[in-house]
Amino acid sequence: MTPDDSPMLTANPSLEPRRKGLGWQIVRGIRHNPAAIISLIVLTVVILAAIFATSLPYSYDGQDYKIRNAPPSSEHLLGGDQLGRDVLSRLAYGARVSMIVAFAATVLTLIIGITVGAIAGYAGGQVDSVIMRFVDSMYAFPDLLFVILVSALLRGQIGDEPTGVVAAIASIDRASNGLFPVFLALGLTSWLTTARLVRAQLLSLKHQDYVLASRGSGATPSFIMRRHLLPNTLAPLIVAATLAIPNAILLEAGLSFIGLGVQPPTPSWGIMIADGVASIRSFPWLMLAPAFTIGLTLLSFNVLGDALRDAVDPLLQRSR
Amino acid sequence: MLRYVARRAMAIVPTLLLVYTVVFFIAHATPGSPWDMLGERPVPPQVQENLNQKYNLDKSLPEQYLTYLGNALRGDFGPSYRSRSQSVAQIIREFLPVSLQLGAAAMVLALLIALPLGGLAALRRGTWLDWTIVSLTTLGISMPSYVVASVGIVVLGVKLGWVPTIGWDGLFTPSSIVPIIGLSLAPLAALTRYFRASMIEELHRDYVRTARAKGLSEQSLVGGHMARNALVPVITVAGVYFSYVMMGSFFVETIAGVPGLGRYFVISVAARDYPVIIGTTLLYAAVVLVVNILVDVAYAALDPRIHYDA
Repeated sequence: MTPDDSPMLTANPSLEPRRKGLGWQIVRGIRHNPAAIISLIVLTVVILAAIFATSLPYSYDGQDYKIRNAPPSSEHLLGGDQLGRDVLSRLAYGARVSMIVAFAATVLTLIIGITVGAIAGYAGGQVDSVIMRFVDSMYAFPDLLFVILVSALLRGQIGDEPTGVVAAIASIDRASNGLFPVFLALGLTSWLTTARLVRAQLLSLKHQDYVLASRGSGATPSFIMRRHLLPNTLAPLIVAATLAIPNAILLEAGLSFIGLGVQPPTPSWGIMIADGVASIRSFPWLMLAPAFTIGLTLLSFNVLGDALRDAVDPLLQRSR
Repeated sequence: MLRYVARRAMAIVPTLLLVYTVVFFIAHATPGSPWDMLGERPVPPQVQENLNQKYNLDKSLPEQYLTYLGNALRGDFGPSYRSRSQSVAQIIREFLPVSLQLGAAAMVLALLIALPLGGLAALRRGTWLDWTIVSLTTLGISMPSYVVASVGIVVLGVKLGWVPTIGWDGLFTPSSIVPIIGLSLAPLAALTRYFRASMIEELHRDYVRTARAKGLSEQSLVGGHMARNALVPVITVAGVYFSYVMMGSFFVETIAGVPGLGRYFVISVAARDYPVIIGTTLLYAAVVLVVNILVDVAYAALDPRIHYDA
């Protein structure tokens, strides 16, 4: 989405039809796209699995000697792992971990990104140029490096009781099962694109006649922001959010894979892949099951994100 | 152009300072000390104290911050705490080339496959071939590098026995195949998509119709005119993905046992080797920044309409 196509979208001073239009646009865009519908079904299954992960017949950490490295059977649909734990239950719990990361990271991204972008875009001038200079330099920050750093350093304090602010951070980290560094790093790095999008949209909107009229009739800046400006940034934000989710899932699984993310015995798809690699020669399905699951989930998010972008971005539609 | 590059190069300094500040305080503010895990046995308190004194760790944080910054500005990143006979500069000189070779090879492979594939998809737009290529790229984008590398090790290393399952004997040996494939799949898929989209846009330009009307051969039209124009936006994406590949090597190097800087960084973080952590992070940030400048310069070189000095 580029700023210059937005005036066309928003020339209508009354916002009501536009907001209905967005939902309708999305439904219309997805209805005739079989790949997007399949993705939606896959994601629904993943989300249901995440919700009901603890109501499955087997727990994710219950060990049963009889199903150690067992192949799939009618009782244990995906077999058991190296410690005799039900693979399907662990996959479902891993889905919960992934969905929590996806949700929390997206919310965090949107909150920081919208706030910063709105301030920069609405205030303009000096404030805008200082904020955007900061955003530009943050783009060079190696985010993966940062995640590894934070998670490893929070983890490396065995026996050493942390104090002060660090103690608070460490306890949040423990409570979130090692997900905190992932949130923190995503919060620090992925809001940049959102902030840019919001700012660009606001810059092109704030001199529109209806905004001037609203200001002239005595509306406060916060009212103008809520009523006129932010609703018009919704379309690019939805797309940005859908594409931020797979990024967060990928990062969490990667960290867990190298042992810096979620801590055992809590399952994560990344940990399950890492465990599976260890016994790949004899029991390949232990790695293939989580690898397939994460691949399919990320694929679904990407397909859905593409479909949403095509649905809400008229500029792209024209060039297709 | 020169003035533009100089201005951009100057802007690197405050960014690196920001990166240094953040990394320094995260590294030092979290509990634990670099002497927690030296060797098998715990280090006696007296020895720890001496070590702290030797490496200035007994000074206050702001003092350490300034001392290290001063040394770093003179190009001295200090000795590594973990292997004390080596300086950070030596470690980087030893491990960076492997990571760079791996990253460059992955990018070259990605570009060599992505450009023909993306161009083909664009020219055969709407056919089953186009559809297959686009579907494969979506699949490629969704596959994490560690999954690709793991599957690669299983298939090529364990089942077929064509490549060693772990280790590194140099860039032009079978041992580099799995890490290169693992790293190149995501940029390959993304570049294919971008080049396809960019070529489709070129197809509708007036000059294409003019060239066809003048009887220019399809070959020189596609290869000489369209590809060159379509390449411009792809360059940006390639720059972004080069940084991605450098970072992605953390996972792939760890799995495949490649002795590169990525794997060394993961080990150093676990060992709280502050100088190596800070030095490596600054290096990666500098690589990202320099690549960004190179991308913008390449932009101007490929597209005569872009002038930076105006």
